[in-house]
This record gives sequence, structure tokens and C-alpha cells, in this order.
Amino acid sequence: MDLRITFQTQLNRQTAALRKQTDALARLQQQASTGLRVQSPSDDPVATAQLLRLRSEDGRRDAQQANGSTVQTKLDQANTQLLDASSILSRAREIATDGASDGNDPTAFETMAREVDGLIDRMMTLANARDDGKALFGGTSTKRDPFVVTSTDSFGRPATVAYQGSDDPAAVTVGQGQQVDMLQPGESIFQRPGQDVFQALIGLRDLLRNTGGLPLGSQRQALSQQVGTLDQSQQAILDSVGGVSASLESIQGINNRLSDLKLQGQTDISNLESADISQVVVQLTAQQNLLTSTLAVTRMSFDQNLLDLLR
Amino acid sequence: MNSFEIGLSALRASQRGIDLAGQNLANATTPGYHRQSLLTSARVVAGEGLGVEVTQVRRLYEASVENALRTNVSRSGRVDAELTTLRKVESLWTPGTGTVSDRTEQLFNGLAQLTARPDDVALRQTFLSTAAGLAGEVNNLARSFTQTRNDLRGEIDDSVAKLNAGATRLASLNQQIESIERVGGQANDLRDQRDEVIKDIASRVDVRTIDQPYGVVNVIAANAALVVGTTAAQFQANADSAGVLSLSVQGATAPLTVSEGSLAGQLNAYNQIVTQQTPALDNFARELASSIDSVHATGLGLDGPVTTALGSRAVSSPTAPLATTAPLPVQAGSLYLSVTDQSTGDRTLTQIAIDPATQSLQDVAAAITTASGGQVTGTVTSDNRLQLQAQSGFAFDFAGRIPSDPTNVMMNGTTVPTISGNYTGSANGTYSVQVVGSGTVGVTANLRLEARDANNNLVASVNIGQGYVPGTPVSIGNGMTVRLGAGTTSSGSFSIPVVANADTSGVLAATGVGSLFQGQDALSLKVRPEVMSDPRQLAGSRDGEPGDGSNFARMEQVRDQPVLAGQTFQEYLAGQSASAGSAVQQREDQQQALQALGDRLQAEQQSVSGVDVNEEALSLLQHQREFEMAARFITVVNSTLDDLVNIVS
Repeated sequence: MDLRITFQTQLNRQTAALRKQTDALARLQQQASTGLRVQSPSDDPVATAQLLRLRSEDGRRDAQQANGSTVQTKLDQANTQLLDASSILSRAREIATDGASDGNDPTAFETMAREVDGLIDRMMTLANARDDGKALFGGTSTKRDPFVVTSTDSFGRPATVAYQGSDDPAAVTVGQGQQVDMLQPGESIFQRPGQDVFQALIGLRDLLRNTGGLPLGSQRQALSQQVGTLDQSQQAILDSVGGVSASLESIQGINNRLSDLKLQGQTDISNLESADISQVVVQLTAQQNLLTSTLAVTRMSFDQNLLDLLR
Repeated sequence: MNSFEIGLSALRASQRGIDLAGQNLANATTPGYHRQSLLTSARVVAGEGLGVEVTQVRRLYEASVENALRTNVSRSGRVDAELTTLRKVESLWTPGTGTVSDRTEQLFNGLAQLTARPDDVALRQTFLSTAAGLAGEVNNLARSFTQTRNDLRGEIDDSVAKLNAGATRLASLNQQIESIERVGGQANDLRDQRDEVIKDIASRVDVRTIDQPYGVVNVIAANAALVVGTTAAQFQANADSAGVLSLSVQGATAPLTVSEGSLAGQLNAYNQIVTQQTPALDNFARELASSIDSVHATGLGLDGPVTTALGSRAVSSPTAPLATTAPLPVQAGSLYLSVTDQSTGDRTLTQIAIDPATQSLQDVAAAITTASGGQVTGTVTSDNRLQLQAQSGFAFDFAGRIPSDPTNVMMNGTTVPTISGNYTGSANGTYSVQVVGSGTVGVTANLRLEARDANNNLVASVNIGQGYVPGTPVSIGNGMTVRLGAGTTSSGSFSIPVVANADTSGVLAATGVGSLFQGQDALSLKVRPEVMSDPRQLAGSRDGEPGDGSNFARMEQVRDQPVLAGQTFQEYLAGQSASAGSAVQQREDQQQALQALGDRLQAEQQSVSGVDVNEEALSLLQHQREFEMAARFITVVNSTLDDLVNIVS
């Protein structure tokens, strides 16, 4: 037997239908206005967990990229200073070569020595160079000057230079599980065993001033040997330049990789949480039409009944 | 002649029919109303028909459908109540800007940034604000869960009060119905009212009804007699000593088993759903504090070692073993104390054994005093916190740095070894350094230095003979360097204690010495005020140099550690959100299924008991016609009698 359809049954059915349609319409309107498919965890619990992970990775990459940028700035600065140091040593080599040359007038040695004094001062300045107030070549010890003159000759000129920075490089996280040494200990650059830059320059200066009282021939021979010492010191600097360049290249590679991963992560986030707007608009239109027709049918069904015919 | 009597009975019956159609139409939309119909039969007196009589006004009622509807109402009540609470819980766990998950990520990202700029005080301040924001949000979330639970308690009390009022009203209706039906009357409308009351009770608890004579109904709610005849029991909600809330009959203590209805849902929400959130959040807060603080406590601030330290976490008893008194877990392990002579810069490293099963806080304090030879004095404050105070001219830390001088030095000559650097290995132990050969440092050929780790693995073999410039550093791996001064040695040796984790026991985090956070649960978590007011105290370094952010890196690495039951913090929070979302989704599915079932049952119930206005209109027409026919009949009879009277007259 068919069910008796009463006024209340009709009312219940229409109410239930309108409630469902209004709810669906509200959800679609929210998606259309925010562009987001996942508004709360219950919309898609699995996607919610995935979104949290992806956003976490995205934020982490931002921090790593910022670190990479800081490291790059420091390494660029260090590279500039080291290239200057190399050019100082090149000039010192030229002076030593000139001094060793037989054709050179020994009376010019004092002038050359004065130039080397300037080179030593310049080398001290750049070895103690700072960026943003922090020593570039002191390792983790960024506050105090990495190099200090520990003794002077009778004229107050530097005789020995000592390293007082840290032995530890300042390592920075630039990628997941990836660290790059941002600030190198200066001792491993300027004062390697047998490749002491300051010692090479001070030695050249003292040879030019002939503080050892050598005969001219021996002095020229010693100056000639000093060219080799300067070459070794310059090699230490160039090795460090190579190391810094390699680090810069590595940073660039990591940054590029981070950019790619970030783009992929953002695409994944968008795919997971974003609503398909064209689909939403189509569904919204369909839902609106359905609601309109339901309202019309509701009105019609309550318009007519037998009581109207009783006169 | 009975014609008038017959006509009159027909008039009465049709009038009753018109009244009933009117009553049905009037209550077409009245909730709980069941349509009524007229049952008539021929009136027979002494075997002779005497018109029509109304034998019953029938209330159209299908018990099986009504019971199914009531069960559906009960189930919906439970699901709705649970869903309401679950939606609140879901919204609290929903990730978004400023939430716990967002701020946790910010915390670790801040630590990552600090590795690049460890001495940037402004960045340190920003990080501390982030940490304080995270702690504050954890506090807010904990308070919200407590508030939700308190609100639920109020709702449960309110629901119980309404249930009790319903029981009283039901008993009263039983009495009225019985008094009418005992004398042969029909109390259809009162039965409708009573069914509505039962429905309301069913929406709160699971009910069963037992029909009694004269229309009386006994109601069993939550397997307890709520209404028996005209007597109503009263229910109450009480919490036991563990805080578990249950329903019981007033005057009895046995808890009732409420399986359905809004009270079942509210009780489940109170005892399970919300109650489970607080320990989950406490767990997060405790692990965050413990894992970050255990690293922070073994680092150094911008001002290096300290001269005094006061623990931020109190034990419950200073004399009982830490295993039962510490606010955070302590395990058997070692604590490495470094003491620095501030005048010379010389630093010693001392290992202190910690056993929470036997040592109390006072024992630990005494052990620190003893191990440092009195250079650091450990005491317990009156509020059960650990306090450390260095002797004048000394400072201490727990960074585990290698000591200034090697230990067990036996060089068998005049050369003096010095060590420096920051150990970067992953295991605690002692490096053994052995000179291979005899001779003069920097002069003798084939004079070597071999370094072996705690497992006797060769980690470095370096030349210190011919070609070595005395006093220059040589690396022996894992961040450490050795210098040998000019002089002689004959198969000399020395040791270097190395520490990767200066507190394997967790006693520093448990007592809050050198901690970043204080508090041990979600409500009490906050950044330690001393650090908050002085960002320089943020311990980001392990070697004490301003440019060293290695301890920040260690703290940042905590984010990838499975510290919460095999999950990282981010995975744990995602799990909470997903779990809350899944629970909401599940209840929404249940709600939709129950709604659909309810709609079908409602339609079935309406099919039997609902008022159809068209039917009633026809019924009205029918009874109108009956009335007209009866009136016509009486007119005819009267006319016939007139004719008879005219003949007689």
C-alpha cells in the first residue's frame, strides 16, 4: 500500500530538502569566495595532515633560503677580501722580484720597504675585515679582531702577528641536513703552517731593509727566495678563494634546489587545498537552480487542497 | 415509534464526525498529534435497530514505528551532542595563522635563522617573542579545553534537570490518563502529550516503555526505572574521585549506563572527547619543554659561562628519588660540568653520574658540589628548586666543551700538548692521543701523533716530526686540533674527554637549570622570564663564541626528531587535527544516516498518524451530508406524522 502523504509529510520533506540544498549552497559559496576546498580538518582529514606537512616544509625552506642569502653575502665579502689579499701578495712578489734583480738600484730598497709596510697594514686590515660589524675571518669569534700584532721592531713596525680568533668555523643550516661554513677561521687562511702571509710580507720588508746585515748579493738571493715564500702564501690565499667559490657555487645550487622544491611544494599545497573554481561555479549555479525550483514546488504544493473547493 | 430517536442519533454521530474533522484539521501541524477517527456501529436495543452510535474515537497509532522513531531520536541525540563538542575540538586544533602548529613551525624556523645570525640580539628578541607566543597559544588552547569541559558540565546539569522535569510531568500525565480511562473514557490527546514528553526524554537518554492497564506507561531510562505508574524518580550527575562524570538515580550511588541520547553524547564528550585533549596537549608541551630545554641547558649564551643558576622547575620532594619527584623524566646518565677560572680562562670538565632511582635533588646538588671540588655549590631552595652558585672567580656551564688542557698527560719529554676546538662527534667518551716514535717535535723524521676515539678506532694520524712547525695546529678530526710545543717526547700520550651530549640524564631539563621554558604542562608552559628579559642568555653557542650558532642548530634539529610516540611535533599536531577532523566526519556521516532514517520513519509515522487535510475535507463533506440526510429524515418523519395528525383531526 502506498504511504499516505499528509500535509506534515510534505512539510517535513520540503524542509529537509531545503535544509540540504541551503547547506550545500553555503559550502559552495564559501569555496567560491575563499577559493579553498579544505576549510577545516573534517573537510578532508588526510589532506589537512598533508597540508600541515607541506606548509611546514615551505616555511622551513623560507628560513633556509634566508640563511643561504646571509651566507652568500658573507662569502661574497670574504671572496672580495681574499682577492684583495692575493693582489697584495702579487704586488709584494713584484717588489721581491724587482729587489732580487741585479739591475735594480739598492738605494730604492727603502722605498720598496715602505710600500711593503703599506701592504702589511692593508693585509692586517683585510684579515680583520668585518661585515655588519662581525669579523669575517675569526671563525665563530666574530667580536674581537682575529689577528693582532704581538710584537714590533724598534721602529714600532709589526714584527709578529698572531691569530686570536676561533678554530671553529661558523656553520649555518642552508638545507635539510646541509650546513655550510659561513665564517672560516682566519688562521687556516692567512697563517697556515709554512704559508704564513704576514710572516712572508714581514720577511720581505726586513730583507729589503736588510735587518740581517747581509751582503748585497746574499740580500738579492734571499729576496729571490722570498718570492717562493710569497708564492706559497699566495697559493694558500688562492686555495681559500677556491674554497669560498666552491661554497658559493654550492649555496647557489642549494638555493636553486630549494626554489624548485618550494615551487613544487606550493603547487602541491594549491592542488590539495584549492577549490576548482570553474567546477564550483557550475555546481553553484546548478544548486541555485535546484533551490529555486524546490521553493517553487514547495509553494505550489501548499497552494492547492480540497478545502479550497469547499463552499 | 423510534424514528425521531434514530434521526437524533444520526444527527449526533454526524456532529461528532464534524467535530473530529475539525479537531484533526486544527492539529494538522501540532507536533506529536495523532489523527483520530470515528468508529460507529448500529444502535441495537432489544434486538431492534435504534439508529447509530459512536463506539470509539480511535487514535491512529503504530507502536513499532513510534518505537523506532524514539530510538532514532535517542541515537540522533547522542550523535548531535558528540558532534557539537567534536566541532569545538576540531576548531581548536584547526591549523592556521597563530595556532600552535603555526607557532611551532615559526619557533623552529626562528632557530634555523639564528644559526646564520647567532649574535643578532634583535633576532634573538624576535625568536623569544615567537617562543612566548607559542607558549601563550598552548596555554590558551589548554584553557579552551578546560572551558569546553566546564561548559559541558553545565549543559549536562541542565539536561538532567529537564529530564527530571519531564519525568515528573510524565507521572502526572499517567495519573490523568488513568483517571479518565479507568472509567471508560478516552484520553487520546493526553496520550499525545505524554508521547511528546517521552520523546523529549528519549532525546536525552535511551528509554524503554512498558504498557500498564488503563493507559499507564512505565518508563525505563538508562536501564533504570524513571517513571513507574504515577511515581517519578529523579536522576543526578556526579563525578567520581577520578573526575569521571556519570548519571545515577538520586539517593543511589551506582552509575547508570547511558547508551543513547544527548546525555550519553555529553557524558562521552565530557569523560572522553574533551578529557583526552588536555593530556594530548600536555604531552606536546612537556615534550617541547623537555627536548628544547635539554639542548638549551647544554649551550652557552652570549656572555658565556654563568656564576649562578636557579632551576625553574621544582621537585615534589627534595629528599625522595628523582624518579618519583621530578616534573620531567630523568634517566640514569651523566652530567658534564665545566668550571672556568675567570682569571686564567682555564677550564675543567667533570663527569657526574646521575641515577634517578637512588638520587634525590639534594643528592644531585651535593654531587655537583663534590665533583667541582666546591668551585660550584649546589643547594636546594625552600621551594624545592636546584640552585647552583660558583665560587668567586669561577664560572660554570654544561656545554661539555673539551677542557683547556688534556688529561692523563705523559709525554715523557719536554714538549707540551695543547688542545682546542669544539667536538662535533656524536658520542661521549675519551680520545686517546699517542705519539708514535721518539724524538724532537718538528725535527725527528717519522714522529707521528695518532688519535683514537673511545672505541679505539684510529681517527687521525698526523706528522709532528720533520716538517711540522711546533705550535701550529693539527686537526685530529671531529672539530678538534692539537698543538705540540717545541721539545722532545718518547712515545708520549694524553687524553681528551669529548662530550656530544653534556646531559644524558635529562636532569637539567627536569630541574629547569639553564632552560628556555619553564612549566611542565600546557597550562604552565612559558618562556623563562630571565631569558625573556635578556636575549643574551639564549644559549645558541657551544663554544662560547658569539658567531657560533651550533646550539641553535641542535635545537632546530629537534623538529625532525620523533619525540612524541614516534612522531615529530609537526606530525603529532597534524595527527591531532586529522583525528579531530575524522571524528567530526564520522559523526556527520552518522548524523546524515540517522537523519535519513528519521525522515523515512517520520513519513511512515505520518502515513499512519498524520492528518491529511484532503481526507479531513472529504470527511467533513461526508459528515455534512450525513447531517443533512438525518435532518431530512426527521423532516420526513415529521411530515408523515403531520399527515397522520391531519387524518385524525
